Amino acid sequence: MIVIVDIMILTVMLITAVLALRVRDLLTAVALLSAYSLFSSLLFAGLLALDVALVEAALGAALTGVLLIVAIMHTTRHSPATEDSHKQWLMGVLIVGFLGLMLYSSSGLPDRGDPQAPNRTGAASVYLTRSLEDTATPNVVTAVLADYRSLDTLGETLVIVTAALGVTLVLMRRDEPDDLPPPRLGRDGGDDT
Amino acid sequence: MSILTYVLISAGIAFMVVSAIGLVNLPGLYTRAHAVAKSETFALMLVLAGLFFHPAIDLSSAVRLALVLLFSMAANPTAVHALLRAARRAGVQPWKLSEETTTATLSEGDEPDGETDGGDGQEPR
Amino acid sequence: MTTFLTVAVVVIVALIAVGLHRVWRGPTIFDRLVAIALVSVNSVAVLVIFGFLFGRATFFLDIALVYALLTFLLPIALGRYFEFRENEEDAE
Repeated sequence: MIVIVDIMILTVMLITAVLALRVRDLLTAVALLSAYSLFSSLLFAGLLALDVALVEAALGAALTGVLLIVAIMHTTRHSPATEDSHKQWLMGVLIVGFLGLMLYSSSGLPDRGDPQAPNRTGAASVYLTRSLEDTATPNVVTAVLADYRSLDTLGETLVIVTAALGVTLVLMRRDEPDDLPPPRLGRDGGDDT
Repeated sequence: MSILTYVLISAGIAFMVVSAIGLVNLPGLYTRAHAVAKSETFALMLVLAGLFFHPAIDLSSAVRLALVLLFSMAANPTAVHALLRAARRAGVQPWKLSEETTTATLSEGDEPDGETDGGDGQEPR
Repeated sequence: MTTFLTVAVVVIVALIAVGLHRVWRGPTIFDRLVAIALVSVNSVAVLVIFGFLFGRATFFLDIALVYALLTFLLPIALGRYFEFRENEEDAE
């Protein structure tokens, strides 16, 4: 990946993230989050992770944006002003500590593409060498997800369908209960509008 | 043939630079939308048309490139139009010249001055 | 050709950064959304040029097509949001 484009996209992502957290207008924050997903999709595309880039562009940039807009439509548009100044130093310490822990633990990861890494000497080498003749699929990631580990994919699909159904049920709630007809009680017939 | 790639992509990037400068410098929402809907779409069309003449083009890439070009040509101005329609209904006023910068030939009496940021209530930021 | 396309990508990403200034500064929400539209169009161009830079044009063009399709939806959804909010205010 071209280094300078990498650096520029990462800088732009950082600026977008800071802006998205600092604005108080939630619609602006949604627009900025959608742009942030777009930039991470560009990064994935630059790393040649094409399936991930496609999914990130489709879900993060569009679907999440539309869902958040519908959520804002039903709730409020401005986030309230809360200033807890005596807790900010504690949050700062926690964040810096966690960041340091993550950086330290990531230094123990093997180099990318290292042939002695544990994920290369196990099942991965079998997948890489035998996937074409086993599954007749040129893309190894697709072969692993849909063939070797297909039950896992089935479970993930069930989770996503359940989540989508739940979100749809919540967001379909109408805000005007006056429009519903009054419930019929016994044989009175009620009011037929 | 690939000389056309250089020419068209350079022209496309020139239009993109103009659009970005226009977005930053033009006053008022409706004038800025000109930069995004018209010149930016044309810039994208030039860049995509330039890639038709790239040496590594083949039939499937050319078909997809044509699809992206046609769709962007139709969709980008429509999306900006949808935004501007919503802005008009929300009450955002077009930019008008202020009284100080008006020349003496302007005959109407009271012009509202400067850039009015109508729209949707308070903008806390 | 490769260096030319690389320079083109660098310039377009710089223009994305310029567009973000309007996202930050724009007095109304609509300014910010129009700037996001510019960022999206530039990103489609970047994705397509990436495709030709890395030699796998068909995959990147798929991503660019999906992104162009879905970026079209976001301003439409926002237009509906503002229309919905206006209807709600009229009903009160």
